[in-house]
Amino acid sequence: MEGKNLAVGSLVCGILSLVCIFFGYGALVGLILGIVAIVLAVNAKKNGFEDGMQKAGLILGIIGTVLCGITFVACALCAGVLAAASSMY
Amino acid sequence: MFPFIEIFGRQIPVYALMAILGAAAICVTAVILAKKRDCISAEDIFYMLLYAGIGCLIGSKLLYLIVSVDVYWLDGKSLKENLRYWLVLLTTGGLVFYGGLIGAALGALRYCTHFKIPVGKAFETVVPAVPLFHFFGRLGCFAAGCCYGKEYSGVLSVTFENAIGAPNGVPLLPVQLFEAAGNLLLFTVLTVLYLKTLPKLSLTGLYLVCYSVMRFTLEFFRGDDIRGNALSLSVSQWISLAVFAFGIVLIVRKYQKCKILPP
Repeated sequence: MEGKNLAVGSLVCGILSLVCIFFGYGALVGLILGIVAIVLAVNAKKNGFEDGMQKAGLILGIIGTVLCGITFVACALCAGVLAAASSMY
Repeated sequence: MFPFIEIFGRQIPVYALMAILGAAAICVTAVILAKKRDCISAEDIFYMLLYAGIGCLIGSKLLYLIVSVDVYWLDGKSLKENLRYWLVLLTTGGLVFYGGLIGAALGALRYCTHFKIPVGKAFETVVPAVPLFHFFGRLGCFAAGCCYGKEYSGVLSVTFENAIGAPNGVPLLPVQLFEAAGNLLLFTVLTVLYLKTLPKLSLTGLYLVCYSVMRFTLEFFRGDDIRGNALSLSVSQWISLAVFAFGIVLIVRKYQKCKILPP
């Protein structure tokens, strides 16, 4: 039962993380939800619950984390941006 | 060089794509290595890498924020404005590999301790693939023009035109490519040693020692000083010293442990 609850939670978080991609800075929330989906799916499997819902939650969580992460992963020091950000305020 | 690529009408950072390729490469490689030895299940290795990936993302951004941010709180501004400022900090700027490495190690450790997987065996299985991930990451750095080298006009110098971090139009030392090549060599050596199954050798320790020496050396040729310095060494060099010492400890401990235990 606990495994099933975790799988349901994982699926919901995975779906929400994909939805958040389309909301600009909401992708930050999507990133967090994607990470939560992954952790819940892994814990569901470890609790002995392995079915389509757990796998879907895991896959959607991974996709959501990756797509939301792309928004924030930019290996650029952007010192100018940071300076501009603090000077804007 | 080419920091962005257009996919379906959206500008995607090449660095992010390289990171995804690297993550896929490390997963595939680690699962193959796990099946070769058959001491840890491939499924556990995959899940452990997911935890490590989460830790890597958080750790690399966290360390970047610690070493690169000068202003943590805008005095005289409202909470809402400060939260917006932090949103800008989180969504721009870069990542620090050592933060990612530490975060990944902690994430993997959390998985192993929570689900009672032998930590040593799990790390030894995954470690050969870590420099492969880093190889792709450094190619991403080169594409974006960040983590650049000092000014240099000789053979192999590179002049960026559309770099995000590097000064454009200035010939620089392609330190990113040197480190990528070093990581590829390290991956090859560690994989060969893994397949030889040398019980007295700690591959984790060897990786930490070799990478820290490489990183410490290459840091002298880096031109992006804004990363942070203390007492004439960069933050990454200080971390390299600590990582080197830790690697030596792992190597010595494993060797001594194998000598004590009966064959």
